[in-house]
This record gives sequence, structure tokens and C-alpha cells, in this order.
Amino acid sequence: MSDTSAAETASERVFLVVVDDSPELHVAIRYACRRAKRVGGRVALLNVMESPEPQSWAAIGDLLREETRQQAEARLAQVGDEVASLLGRPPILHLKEGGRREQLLKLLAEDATISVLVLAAGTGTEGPGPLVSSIASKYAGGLRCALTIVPGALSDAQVDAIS
Amino acid sequence: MEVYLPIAEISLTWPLLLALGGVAGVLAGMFGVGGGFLLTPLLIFVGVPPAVAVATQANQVIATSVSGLLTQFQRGNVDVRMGLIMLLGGLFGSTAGIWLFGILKRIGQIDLTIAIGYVVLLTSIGVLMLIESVRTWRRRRNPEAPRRKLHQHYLVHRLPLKMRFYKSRLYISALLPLGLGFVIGVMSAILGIGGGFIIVPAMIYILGMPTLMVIGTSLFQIVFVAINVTFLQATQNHTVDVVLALLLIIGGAIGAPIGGRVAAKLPSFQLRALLALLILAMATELIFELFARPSAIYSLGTAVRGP
Repeated sequence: MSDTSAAETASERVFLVVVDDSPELHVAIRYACRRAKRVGGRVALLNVMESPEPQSWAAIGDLLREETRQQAEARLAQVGDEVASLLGRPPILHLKEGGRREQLLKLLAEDATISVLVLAAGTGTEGPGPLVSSIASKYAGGLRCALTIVPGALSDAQVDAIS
Repeated sequence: MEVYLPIAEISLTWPLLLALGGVAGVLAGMFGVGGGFLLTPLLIFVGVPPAVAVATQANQVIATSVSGLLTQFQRGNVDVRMGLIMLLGGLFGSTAGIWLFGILKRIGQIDLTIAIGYVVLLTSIGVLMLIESVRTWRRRRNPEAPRRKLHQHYLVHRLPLKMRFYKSRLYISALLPLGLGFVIGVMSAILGIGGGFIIVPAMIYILGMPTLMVIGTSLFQIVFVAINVTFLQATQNHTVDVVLALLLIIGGAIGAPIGGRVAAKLPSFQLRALLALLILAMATELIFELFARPSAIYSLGTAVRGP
């Protein structure tokens, strides 16, 4: 990123969305893109890849990590394309390794440009999802940015109406 | 503290057996090994007859692999089609292995066969691990060193009976996974190992499967072959000691999470070098036991007549 664009983003609002395989991700993406477009901000995506389990051969462990990384990058690129087509600007991409919640909290603490974290709540019977349950309760007070939770069941039109 | 092992026909203290299971569990958690090939020599050293050690070991393999298999299933990392073909080979291989085990037991050569098998297995794994950790260490000091590319096997593409494996994105001969499963099945029966050490690299380099898919699919094969081995060893050869198996499994369940936590904190290539040395030390001890003059030169036993 060049100096001028860095200066721009400092004043721009950044909406962070955590990438996963849930169906409600699409709702979070749409909401974040619409909001970012309205306020002239950007969307950032975070994908957290799991640390591969220890393998008996180090070479196999390396292959496994490489492959996991490629998959995570491909997923990030795929969601990034969706953001680019909705927002008209490419998103900021973050790829981390480790625990999803730990890495998210770490990124929020490190990156001062992020102003809103957008999470979508799951609609299943098992609750809104582990990230929403923990970030919105135990960790909410310690966050440095605003937190928006979008219900995962909203249709595109409903999301558009509130963003 | 003594507990009598009904099949092994010896008395050992139960904390010792728990500890052995625990050590294998810690190593399994640290290195992702099944722990089987480490546990068998340890059991032999404390006096468990090799035939019983090996057969009981298959139980431990099931216990350590099932939870891993379930996780991999949930993540969709099991190629069931490939797994079933390998398993078919594995069931034939392990049944043949058990049959061979029975013959060797009847002619009194099973203990020697197991000892020699383990000497070969431990020596080759130990040497390869040592080479690998030295290489990793060198690369860490000199990151510019060229990394070897994976080579492609073209011969394997010429075999007949080609099948499509959608999940692994492969179009290869079914004879390959079938044969691989068979070989591992025989080893599983005679040496009591799950065979992850051999099967995982073989599936990656010979079959050409994606690594993520290999981890889950190999567990699929390992679990069901180990079940077949345990069942047949218990019914045909009467060599599974359930008291021993139970103690080892409990120890393993305690040890594995500890190993996982240790592994997350320490640099792995140094640990690996240590494990390699440990494996080589066990191989040396086994060789020594093969050639050393026994403390009792004659042993009395009831001869079992063949059929």
C-alpha cells in the first residue's frame, strides 16, 4: 500500500468481516459492502486457517500446511471477488493461522483502521455461532471498534433496506 | 499394585503399564504418530510376550485413531470411495497376515519374526527421521537451500482398472490402493501397527492424493483394519489381552493431550531428532536381546500340537 492510500484509509472507515463456510456469511458481506459504499469506506476480510495437526513426518506436515494455506487463500480470493463486485473496490485481505477468536481479537488490537466488526448471527437451533456468542458477550467490553450483528436470516432486500 | 495379565500370563504393576500407555500417548500427541510401533518394543522390554504385545497393540491403535477419524469425517476430509478400496485390500491383507501369524506361532517362530520385523521397521524409521530433522535444521539455517520438488510416478498411470476418485481429483488404477491396503494390512496383522507412518507418505507420493484427504482417508483404513486384526487375533490366535489393552488405552488417553500441548511450545525438528534417537535406541536394544545369551538358557513349556 502506498503512502497516499495509507493516509486515505486512516480516515476511511473499514468494515471487517470474518470469512467462514456458514451460509450467513453472505449476509454479513452484503451488509458490510452496502455500509462501506454509503460512507465511502472499505471492507476488510479475515480468514483464519487452523494450525495443521502434528504429523509423523516433517515433510508431510509442511505439505499439509501448504495445502491448508492454498485452500484458505482460494476461499479468501473467492469472497474477495464477491466484495469487489458489490463494493466496486477490492477488499483488504488478512490471512492468519491459529484460533479464530484469538486471531480476530489480535487483529482488532493491532489494526487501528478497523472501525466496525460485522458478524452475521446463525439461524440454526444451536445458537448464533461461537464467534457471535463470545465476541458479543464476554469480549464485547474490551473491543476497540464498534460491533454490528446482522441476523443471518435476512434476505438481500431486507439487508438493503437497513443498510 | 501387581495385576495379572490373563493372556500374557505374567504379573506386572499396573502403574507401569499406565505409564507405558501414557508415554506412547504423549509421543502420539506430539508427533501425530499412532504410538503403536513405539509401544510394542516397550512392552517386549518389560516382559510381555511379543505375540501378545503385537495383538493387544491393535486395540490401542483403534482407540487412538477413532476420534481423529470422526473429526476428519466432519471436516469432509475422507475420500470414502478410495478408503473402501484400500480397506478391501486391507481386510484381505490383515486376514492373510493373521493366518501367517497363526502358522508362525504354531511352529514357535512368531516372537523371532516380530523382533526382526521391529528391528527393520524401527531402524528404517529412525534413520529416515534423523535425516529429515537434520535437513530441516539445515534449511532453517540456510533458507536459500533448494527444496526438492515432488516427483511424479508415470509408471502407475499405466496400470489397468482405472477408476475416478472425485474427492481426491484422481483417475488412477484401483489396483494401486488395493495393493497398498493389502501390504499395510499384512504389516498391521504381524506387527500390530496402524501403519500411518508408511501409508500416509505412500498415498501422497504413489497415489498422488491431496495431503488433507490423505490424513482422513488413511485413518479410515487404519481403524477398520485394526478392528479386523483385533477381532481375528482374539478369536483365532487368542493373543489379545484385554486387561493390558485397557490399561494402555487409559494411559494413552491421559498422555495424548499432554503431548499436544508440549508440541505447541517446542521447536519440532529438535524433538523429532530426539524421537529418532529414541527409536534407534530401541532398535539397538531389540538387536541386543536377539543375540544376547538369555538368563535362562532352557525354558519349559507345553508343546502345542499342530492341527
